[in-house]
Amino acid sequence: MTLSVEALAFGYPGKPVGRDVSFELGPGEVICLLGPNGSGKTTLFKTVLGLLRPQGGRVRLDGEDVAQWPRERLARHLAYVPQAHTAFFPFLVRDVVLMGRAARLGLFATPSARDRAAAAAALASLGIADLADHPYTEISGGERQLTLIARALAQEPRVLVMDEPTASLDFGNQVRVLERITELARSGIAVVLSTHDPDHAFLCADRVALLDDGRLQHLGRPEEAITPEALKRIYGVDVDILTLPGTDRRVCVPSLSRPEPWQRPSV
Amino acid sequence: MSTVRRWRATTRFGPWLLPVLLGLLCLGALGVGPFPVTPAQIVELAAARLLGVPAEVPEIVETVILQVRLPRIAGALVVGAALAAAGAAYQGLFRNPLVSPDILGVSAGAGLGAVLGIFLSLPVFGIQLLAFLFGVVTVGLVYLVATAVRGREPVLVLVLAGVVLGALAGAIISLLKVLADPYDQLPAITFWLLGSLAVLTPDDVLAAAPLVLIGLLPLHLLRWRMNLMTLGDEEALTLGVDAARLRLVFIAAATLMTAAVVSISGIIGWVGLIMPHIARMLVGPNFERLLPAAMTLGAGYLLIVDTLARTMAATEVPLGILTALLGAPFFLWLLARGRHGWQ
Repeated sequence: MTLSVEALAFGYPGKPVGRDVSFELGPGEVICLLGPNGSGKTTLFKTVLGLLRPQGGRVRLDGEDVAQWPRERLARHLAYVPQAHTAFFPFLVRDVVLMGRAARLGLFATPSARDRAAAAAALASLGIADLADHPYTEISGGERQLTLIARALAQEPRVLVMDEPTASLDFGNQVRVLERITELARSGIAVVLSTHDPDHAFLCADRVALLDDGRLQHLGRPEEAITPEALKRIYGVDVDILTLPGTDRRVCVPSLSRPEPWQRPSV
Repeated sequence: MSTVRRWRATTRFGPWLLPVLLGLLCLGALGVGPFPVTPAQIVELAAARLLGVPAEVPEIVETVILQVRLPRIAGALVVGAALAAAGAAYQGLFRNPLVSPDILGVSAGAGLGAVLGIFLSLPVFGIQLLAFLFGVVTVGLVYLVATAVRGREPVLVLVLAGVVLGALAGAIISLLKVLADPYDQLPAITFWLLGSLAVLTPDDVLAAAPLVLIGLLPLHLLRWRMNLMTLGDEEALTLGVDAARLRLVFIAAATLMTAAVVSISGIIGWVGLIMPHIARMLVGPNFERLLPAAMTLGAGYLLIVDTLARTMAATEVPLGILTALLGAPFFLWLLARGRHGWQ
């Protein structure tokens, strides 16, 4: 399934945030959205997900404008992974993942054995089957993020929208989440995710979209999009981009500008 | 894991253990009171009624059991279960374990209706009808105000509108208290606002019970979807749930139940706050199990409190006082033990 975002203008009523954003996301592809705080990443995602009405342009799935789709139909194709959050009530992890089945259940139905199996499979595919009987409130941040990904997978979506899935995770969990994302893409799911770390884009993205001030500054392969000049332009900091010897792996190294002694604040 | 193990145990034993305990409580409540009734007489009477033969118990015993205690016990069960069910629904909807069924002003509105009815010297049925209508209308107004205010967090606006309209109703109640006849109407108003089942008639229970059942039906049918409402609107929407419409259904159902019972019992606090809470500690937050557990506990708790209210002193003790006196320290004890059932 192909997600097409066409000349999208997005924002809140009376407060436009961005416009002219267009991209296409095909099956198995990972697009990584990079942009500074306040550049409109979350607003763009909310509009793609249909939580905000587009202020212009449209969002299509396989060519069909989704604006008039009922929520259930949208949720069967397009799933959202929010940032790992704390829940208000201690639902078991298996119950949280089961909630992903809502769009595939009748209004008055309760989950069937098939739904439970789908939830268990989603947990197993992320390697966290043993968490099923833990309360969601008592697991770590990384485990919560994986649980929310599992909940999205239980929707059996074709497109996955992930809002900063690696934010607030420790180093190991960041890597684990990125590994799962590439695995999901290999299984044919299209993924668009936002991140604050250009290195994550190098690790998992097929294409990178640079968003600044609500406009798409660049869309292309990671090594074309993420350049010292581009990062300087959107983040305002100096960055060196190195290629690891003997590989084509690239990493970003910020060159910290150290104040000269006479510039340091006096104590 | 101890939490989860407790949920498992109560989920396994709860479905029969809690109702059995509730049944025993009812038998006990039938037996206690100023007029002595033996358990044998209760069993004898029940058997005779079931078989359709005349009971071999004194007529006064039959009257006490069937005309006095049974309606009151039935009333306590209905009122307690309805308040706890509404509380469980509201706590999920508002994603807050400290929410009671009064959050959107149903009790304040019903109180205003009843006080107005007493002030106008209406008959009992008129007072109850006004209480019911004012309770429902108040929540309706709160909902309209909240939908008129767009672009804000809808749940927050609902709660604020509920607080404001509740305060408004409270102010008018105070005004009517000042204007009321201090010897006749004021005591009646005070008693109503503290809640009591003392003057409950079988007709009252039969009038409220169907409304409670009508409110319970959507709560039961949508019991699994209720879980998704605790995620907040945006997540619920991305999971394919029309959160705003579902919330309207839940609010209407919970309001109908609360208004129906408050109009026959007066304002009884704490049941709708604490019982869903204890139920959540026993069976976990999943609404499929939470709803029946909260209702059973609410029914049992109000039955115990009402039995105390009619037996512990020569005069009736208002229920609202007892539910608070028993509920508040118990709640503190639960908090101190650190078994929250929420984050």
